[in-house]
Parts: sequence; C-alpha cells; structure tokens
Amino acid sequence: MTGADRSKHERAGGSDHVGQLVRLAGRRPVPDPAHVSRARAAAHHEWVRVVERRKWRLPFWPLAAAAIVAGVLGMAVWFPFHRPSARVPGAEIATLQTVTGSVRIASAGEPPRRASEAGLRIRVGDRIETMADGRAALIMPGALSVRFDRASTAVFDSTDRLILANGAVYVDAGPGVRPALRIETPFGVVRHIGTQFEVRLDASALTLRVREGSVAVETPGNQLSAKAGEAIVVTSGRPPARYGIVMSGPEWSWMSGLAQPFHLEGAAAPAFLDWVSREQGWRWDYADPSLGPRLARIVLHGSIEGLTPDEALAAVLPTCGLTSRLEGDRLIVGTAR
Amino acid sequence: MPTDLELVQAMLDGDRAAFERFFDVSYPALYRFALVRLGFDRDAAADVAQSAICKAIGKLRTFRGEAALLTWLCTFCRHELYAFHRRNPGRLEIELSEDEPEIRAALESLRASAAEDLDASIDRHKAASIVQRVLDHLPPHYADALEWKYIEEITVHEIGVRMGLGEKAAESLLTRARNAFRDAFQAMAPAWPVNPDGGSRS
Repeated sequence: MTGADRSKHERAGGSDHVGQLVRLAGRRPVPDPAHVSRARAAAHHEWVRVVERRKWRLPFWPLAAAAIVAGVLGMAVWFPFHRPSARVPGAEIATLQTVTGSVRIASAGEPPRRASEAGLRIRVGDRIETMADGRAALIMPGALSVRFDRASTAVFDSTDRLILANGAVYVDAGPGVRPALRIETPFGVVRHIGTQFEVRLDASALTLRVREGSVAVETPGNQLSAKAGEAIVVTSGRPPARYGIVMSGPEWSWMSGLAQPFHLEGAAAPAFLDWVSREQGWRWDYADPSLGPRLARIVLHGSIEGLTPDEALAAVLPTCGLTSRLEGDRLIVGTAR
Repeated sequence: MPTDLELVQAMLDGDRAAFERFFDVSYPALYRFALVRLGFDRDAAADVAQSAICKAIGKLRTFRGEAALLTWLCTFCRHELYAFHRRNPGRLEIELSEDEPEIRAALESLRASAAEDLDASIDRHKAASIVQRVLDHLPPHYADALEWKYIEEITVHEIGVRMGLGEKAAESLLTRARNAFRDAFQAMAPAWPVNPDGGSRS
C-alpha cells in the first residue's frame, strides 16, 4: 500500500492513527524564552568565533604555501608575506567605564575573563555578562553610555547592534548625541532617537521605559514608538501594552551607581546640577530666579569620585551655601538660611 | 529547503540567516532531548542543550553530512549529559529506549528497516517521548503541520495560510508529513503499528 493509499484509507475509515499519536504526545515542550535568549547569545558568540577563525584560515593556507616556496627562494622574498599567528581581533567599540561586583567579558576565541577595572576595551563579538551581584557601564563613541543591570547578558554583534539575551540595559545617548544603536531581543528590536531609556528582558516580556526622547520598537507585526514618560511591554501572543511611568525614583536607581563620571574640579555649578539631574531623571530649577547669576559664578573644586549623583549633590551643595529639595521630578535649588 | 550539509556550509560562510535557522530548529530539539533524560528539569536541560549546541558549533567544520544534523548534534548532547551527571553524582540518570543504537539508527535514517522489536508493553509516557523525537527528526515544516493539524486543530486552509501555500498544496504536504511520521514511528516502535490495517494502541 502506498503512502497516498494509506492516507485515503485512513480518511475513508474515519480513523487517523497518526493524529491519535500526535495528540497523545501533546505539544512538544519548548524552552523558556530566557533560556532561548541566553543560549542564542552563547551560540551566536561561538558561531562568530568559528566564522572569524575560518576567515583567517582561508587566506592563511595559500599564504603559508607561498611562504614555503618563498622560503626556498630565500627569506628576503618570504618575509613580506609572513603574517602573525595571532587572531585578528574585532574592532574596538566600547570602553568599560565602571564595574561593580562580578562582571565577565568573553572575547571570541578566548575564555571568559573577569572584568575588574575600568579601561578595558570591548570589541565586536564580545559577550558581557554581569553576575547576580554585578553591574557595568560602558562608554561608546559619541559619548553613548550603555549600562547593564545585574544578571544581564549581551553580545556586541557589531558596532551598532547589541543583542540582549537577558537582564536590563540602560542607554543614555546624551543631549544632542545621535549615535545609532539597535538593541535586539527575542520579543523585538529597539532603536533609539537620541534619548535615555531602559530595555529589560525576562522570560515572558520585553519592557521598554523611556526617560527622554523617543524610541522605536519593532516586533513581529508591530512598529511602535514610545516617548518620554511611557513604557511599552511586549509579550508573545498578546498585543503590546503601553502605560505611563515616573521619570525618577527607586525603579531607576540601579543605574545611578554606574553614572558617567563628572569632573568636578573647575566645573561651574549649573553644569554640575545638569549632570545630577540628567542621571537622576530630574529637571532642576531655582527657588528664586535672582539666584541665577550667583549660581553661574560658582566654580567647584575637589572630587566626587566614587559618589553616586545624589550623594554628590548632598556633598557639594552645602559647600556652596546652597540647599535643594525635590518636588516630584523637579529639583529646586535655593540658598542656605 | 537546504540540506543539512548546505546549511552547515552556509553557516561556516558567515550566513546569519543560516545560523538563525540552525539555532531555531536545533536548540529546542536538543532541549527536549536533554529534558526527558534529566527528569524534566527545565533549567538543567536548558544548560545542557546550550553547552551542546555551542560545542557543536565549535566543531561545525567536521560535519560531513554522513549522519543527519540533529543526530550529529545529539552526540554532543550525550557528552554534555554525561558530564552533567559526573558533576551531579546524586542525580537520577534516565535511560530511554530510544538511546539504544538501533533506535538511534532508525531515527537517523527515518526509514523502517532493521529496528529491533521494542518491548510490546511500551507505555504512554515512552510513546509520547518517541512521538516527540520523531517529530523533531522530521523536516520542521512537516512537524509543524502535524502539530497544527492535530493539537491546535486548525483547518488545512489555515495551515496553508501559515505556510504560504494553497489549500491543495497544504493537504499534499500534510499527507507527506503523515507518511513520513508513520514510517519513522514504525521504525522505532514496530510493535506499535500505526497503519490502517494494524491500528494503533493508545
């Protein structure tokens, strides 16, 4: 009996044994999206390593053969064809700026290494992993600040593409800065348009929170954008949800320990207040407009290294005879009585 | 659809779409392979499958297409399972009938040939495991079509829409999928016939 005959036989008899078995087994179990993301990032990293190594090998063997022939003819001919045996590294795309806790960087073709000091260069293809106690901040060209929360894994796939496997990343493009960075997740792709925003990925959802500017999100079947004060939640099987958010507070506090350093020595007081406010998600204002000229003349001295922006604010303002208070997202700066 | 060897070659050439296709099909299959062997510990299965797929990618250039790609990948998964059990000596090791070389060979070839008789008292759990393994070894669009038809119970027309096929082509694909499934299952469990004359025990 041929396959077609059997199928006709089954349909005619009203009994579909293949169907019975497939129903008996039920849907095949699938891994959690978080597991898939993590595995995809790791597999991708390995694949990039293999492809890079292969690219190097392909031209190597003809060159090596040429070198052997050239060796017979003499070192003078061979030498210009010689290539160093070290793998050609990927292009540098970022520098590690701040590290807290345990953070590991895995470069293509090399075992993961602990990242403990600022200044480490990040290359295309590198995977960054923050452990349960670790956080990290990177600085990219154009002063683009990229910060990773605890338990995050991401791969810098190219100079403008970050694959987030799990955890959260916060991006601060800085005022007026327009570098392009795509953040890819299993739930969708996030592109920013000069802004501050957070992308958080867990097993069930991608959550985007925008603090400044606007961000585009591409999901299968949807193209959305979120502006400052909005969040979008993307889950599989349901339409994306949008809601309003606060711009400062505890849910934003994780990245304050990773703030871009501020060089206090010789800085004007308004510049310092701009920095604090940007990092905290505040807008600052004078308690009294007449304070403006006085504040502009204040030049700060010393260092705030190791302090978070709010700690720096508390340390610096009293030395200038100033005070501050918060009204919602507004930082009101006045004179000390 | 590319052959396994073509897919691997495309990956080695740096084709990102080939990598995505490879990962999307292989990782869930390896996960399921590990899952039933680890007592349905989802975290452990995910870890083992991840290690296996990364190790396999590292050795991609050694793949010659002599075995099916998934069968080749499963050898890495077996090594990772072994390593996992060595690291966790208290864990229960689960042996499956499909781990027998004969069954592996049958899965690899997907042809009813020389598989030995399985225990006739094959239970429901084992049957489910075998069905899922057979589905993993079918071409992915066959397995999807069978799950949509029998589990989601969508119409042939809807299957065609999902696959970008006309209704007639979808029906034809379903027929081929049923036949491929039947042959593969028969190879693994000849004592459990799935042909119209013999019927199946469920």
